[in-house]
Amino acid sequence: MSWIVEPAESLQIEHDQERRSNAYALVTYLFGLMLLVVIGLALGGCATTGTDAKQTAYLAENDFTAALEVAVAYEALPTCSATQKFPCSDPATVTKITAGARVARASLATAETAARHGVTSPSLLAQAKADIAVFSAIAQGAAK
Amino acid sequence: MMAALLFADKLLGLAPLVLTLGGDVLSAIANGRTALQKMSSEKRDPTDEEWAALNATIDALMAQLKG
Repeated sequence: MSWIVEPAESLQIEHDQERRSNAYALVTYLFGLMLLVVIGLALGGCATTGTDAKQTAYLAENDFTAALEVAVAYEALPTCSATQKFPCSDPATVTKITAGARVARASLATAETAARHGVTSPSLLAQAKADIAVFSAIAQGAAK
Repeated sequence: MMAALLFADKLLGLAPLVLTLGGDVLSAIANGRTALQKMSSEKRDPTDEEWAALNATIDALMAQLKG
């Protein structure tokens, strides 16, 4: 094995490193936006009254739409393949993101229905927020 | 060199998407908080129309998911 790196090879390595770094930065930026959603959920507060429950559910659903926008943008990228490298979406990640979104959507619908019917259920809202956080974490994981 | 230029071109091509998406996400989050502050100042809950509009937005985005 030779430990001497030829100049052309060195340039190629630098180029590959720069390319990976740029790709990582861009995809991390996209999914870093998900962090804003998680922070928003954390700042959303806890529901202690009927009105709080409705407003908390409303805010959680609003934050979910922001997370969905990023997920839709990721899934809209061309599918990764031998010829399609960055930017592309990984089919396995797409499946996980969509499954996570469906779980979060179902939890939110349950929390919304309860809140709109005057049922104050911190556990339902907490579950919905947790499912959105899981959904966001799956999408963030796509950047790694 | 050519590959680097092509890649840079790809990145520049994505810039509008990234900026638009970033703006969309931030404005979606901000709009929710503004709407909630308005509801609080008016001492009211979200109306049926506001719930319907939010759910329609979510349904439209969910319909775009492929997986």
